[in-house]
Amino acid sequence: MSELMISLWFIAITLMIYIAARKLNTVHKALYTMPFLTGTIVLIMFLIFSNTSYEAYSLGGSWIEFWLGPAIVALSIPLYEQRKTLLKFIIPLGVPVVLATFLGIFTGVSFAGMAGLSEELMYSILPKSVTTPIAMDIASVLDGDPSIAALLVLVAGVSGVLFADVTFRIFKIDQNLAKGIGLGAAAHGIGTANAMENGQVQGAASSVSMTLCAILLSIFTPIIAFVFMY
Amino acid sequence: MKVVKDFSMLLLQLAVLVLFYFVGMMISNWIPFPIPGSVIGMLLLLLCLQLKVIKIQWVKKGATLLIVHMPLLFIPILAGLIQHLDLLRVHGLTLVVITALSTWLVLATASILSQWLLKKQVRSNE
Repeated sequence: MSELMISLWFIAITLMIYIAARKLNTVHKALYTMPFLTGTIVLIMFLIFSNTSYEAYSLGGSWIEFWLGPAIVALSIPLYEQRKTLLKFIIPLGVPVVLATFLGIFTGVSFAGMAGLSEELMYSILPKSVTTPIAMDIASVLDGDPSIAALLVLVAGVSGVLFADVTFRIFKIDQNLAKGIGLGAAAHGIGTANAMENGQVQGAASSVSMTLCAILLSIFTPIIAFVFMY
Repeated sequence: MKVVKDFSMLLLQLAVLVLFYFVGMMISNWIPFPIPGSVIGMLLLLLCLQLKVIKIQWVKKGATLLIVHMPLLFIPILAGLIQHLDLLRVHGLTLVVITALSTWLVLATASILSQWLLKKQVRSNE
């Protein structure tokens, strides 16, 4: 088979797995049936059982991966549409987002340091609270590992959603805007999907908070790294 | 015919997003700190929307398509974990615990602070 045929074959396989995973998620909606979770597990099993190396799969996979860049560019649309909410609540939105971004970096990296993890792993943990595509970009910029970063983003998203209700009850968080900001800052896309189910205000706050955290993190981490290196 | 027209419109919209991505990548290579090109592209598009250089209808359909199907784009990368199974066997649990703990701290801090500031803002408006 030519390289083009192999690429098309792997693209088709990935698409089929994704379509099936989406179908499962509509039939049975739950945290553990999210398409990228089930889809990844099936794809990994397929690669193992068909004895395919990841390098070979990447011939096709990289064509799909490419679209992450334009997808991040596309995130400017919801941000633009929410600009009025953003401006109206600039203080209760902006201040927690800035603090949350730095707290996320600081706690992630210092816990990793305490656990004695390698620098590569530390840099893969760092971007865990921002949306997957941007987290992977940041991890590769810092010489972390993009796939581990993507996995930890997934862990952050799921654990954030699992903790949310209990945390809001303990600390008596009753404002939808505040709930959305917390979810977006801690649990990015998964948190935002969850917030959207609880109403428009929470969803909008979460999506703005998620995008702002991602922008802040992607601008500040390379600058901080740059300053420390020179 | 309508299907053909809609489809070519969609492709054109995706091409605009790709263009912004490429310009972002060029700028990213040119500045001294490695801010991801995709994020620069996002900010540029936001600027163009605000300045009305680009109308939101020109990109909305393509953008929605990419955002809705973003999980598809993650699958090939997450499958890259297959190369790290040994590392995950050793450090997997530590990584999960650290991530969950840090996530919880961020969630609690951001929502408590935001609620406090929100109530302050509402009170001062009254």
